Amino acid sequence: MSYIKPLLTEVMSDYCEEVWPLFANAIIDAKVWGNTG
Amino acid sequence: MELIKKNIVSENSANLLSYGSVTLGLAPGEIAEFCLSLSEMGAKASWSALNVIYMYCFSNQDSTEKIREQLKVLVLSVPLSKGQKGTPTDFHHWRDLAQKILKEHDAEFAVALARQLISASQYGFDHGDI
Repeated sequence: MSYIKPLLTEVMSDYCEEVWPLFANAIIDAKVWGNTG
Repeated sequence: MELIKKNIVSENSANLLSYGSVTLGLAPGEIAEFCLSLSEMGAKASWSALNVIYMYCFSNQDSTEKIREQLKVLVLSVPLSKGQKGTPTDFHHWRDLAQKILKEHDAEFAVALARQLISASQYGFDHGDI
């Protein structure tokens, strides 16, 4: 069962302006995808 | 609560309060206060607190709005990274409560949820929760 993706999709869709910078920074820090930070 | 503090019963044991509508007679503020205190007792306890309040709200649909602020704290308090769950239904309860809160526009809560996910992602998620 998927839990995070549906909620994340909803949040990214409805609050893109507010939350996208957080994820952008996290990706830049390599903390989100791959946990290589 | 005292029994958990003294390690006489486990943090998980509070999950028993999720079953059988045993909290039905409590006022929303009372159960919310109990769950907030429980949540402060550790990672497992925070999941138990979320489960207890989830099942209370499930039986008391009107209560969700009355304890909205407390629900936000409880949703944001649980550790989402792998190996932190207490029961298989934990993530379902987390997602469902978060979605109920987000039915009312709340950018501050959305940002807090994003921070919660980003923070947990540093330690990885259980594959089945993604």
